[in-house]
Amino acid sequence: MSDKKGLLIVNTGDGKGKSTAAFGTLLRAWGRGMKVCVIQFIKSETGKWGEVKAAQKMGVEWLTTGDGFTWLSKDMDETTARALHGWELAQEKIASGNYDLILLDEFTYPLHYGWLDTAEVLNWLKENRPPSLHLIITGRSAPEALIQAADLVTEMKLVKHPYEQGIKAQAGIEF
Amino acid sequence: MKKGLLIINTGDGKGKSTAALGLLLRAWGRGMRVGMFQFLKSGTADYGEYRAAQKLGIEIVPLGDGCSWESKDWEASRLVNLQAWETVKQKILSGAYDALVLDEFTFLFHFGWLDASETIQWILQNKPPDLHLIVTGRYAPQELIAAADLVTEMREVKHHYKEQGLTSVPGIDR
Repeated sequence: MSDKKGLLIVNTGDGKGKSTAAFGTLLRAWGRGMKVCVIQFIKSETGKWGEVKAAQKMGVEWLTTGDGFTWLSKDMDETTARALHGWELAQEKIASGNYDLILLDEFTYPLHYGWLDTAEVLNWLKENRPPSLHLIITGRSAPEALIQAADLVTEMKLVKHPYEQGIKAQAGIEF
Repeated sequence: MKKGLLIINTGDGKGKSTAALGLLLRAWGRGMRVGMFQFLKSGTADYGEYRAAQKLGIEIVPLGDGCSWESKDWEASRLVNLQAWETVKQKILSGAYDALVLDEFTFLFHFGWLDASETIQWILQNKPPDLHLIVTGRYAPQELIAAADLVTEMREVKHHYKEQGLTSVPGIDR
């Protein structure tokens, strides 16, 4: 089989390292001169995260669901509307054919909570994803159908966490 | 209060070294002084992370001899990796880093080249209090897990090599 096949990669589980491993993969791909892009669902957009600062220094395109978001709908709550808007951004980037790797960070949540229909998303990807595009999806509670469709699935399992010992989250390490 | 964390990424799944790389990237984004020292792995391998690290000026240093279970000269590998640990000890003591990754370090315990209790004692006594230390690799010994602040097990759920006969993909796996 050709190694030009784009992989659908899922990092899920209750442990640390889902997004962090995805950033590591992004770094590796960027190191090889591949075109990469991040679309971040859920997380707030203060731009104070260490990874956002790194992406800025590296010139990596980093979008959040708030980018270009305008509040139009009266029929749904803001969280749902933002998730839909984020998915539209993602669809645009995926279909463009301009990228080698796209990270949909925390994308399992809109699927898990039903803001987006998992079957519809997977169908859309099947028809529109360029064959060589690598797609990484992170977040807890990855739906079974997504796991079925994926090429590589890793579960990050929490064994021990410093919060348990009353140690606060450390800048540069956890965010 | 600032406290340097001892972090372990272990398990049979992907993402142990990769998450450590992501963490270095995050710390580097905040202007922290970071480095990754790799056991087992040799400098001849062509990894995407070396190229990225070169572009960014991040120190990623392979200190191993590329040995594996099929290694021809086991004793030579042992000496190379123990020498690597001596080098890394000096890096830990230097105070020149905010975060250090010891990649595949667990194998030195697994292969019986280092004693886990003694090594952990050395780390706890000599590590600068603010230094974050990240250890990756399969089979993390119980003593190391007990001493750590944060431990994650990467569990393989599905893998494209085995199930679809795909080879390792540049930019993704290496």
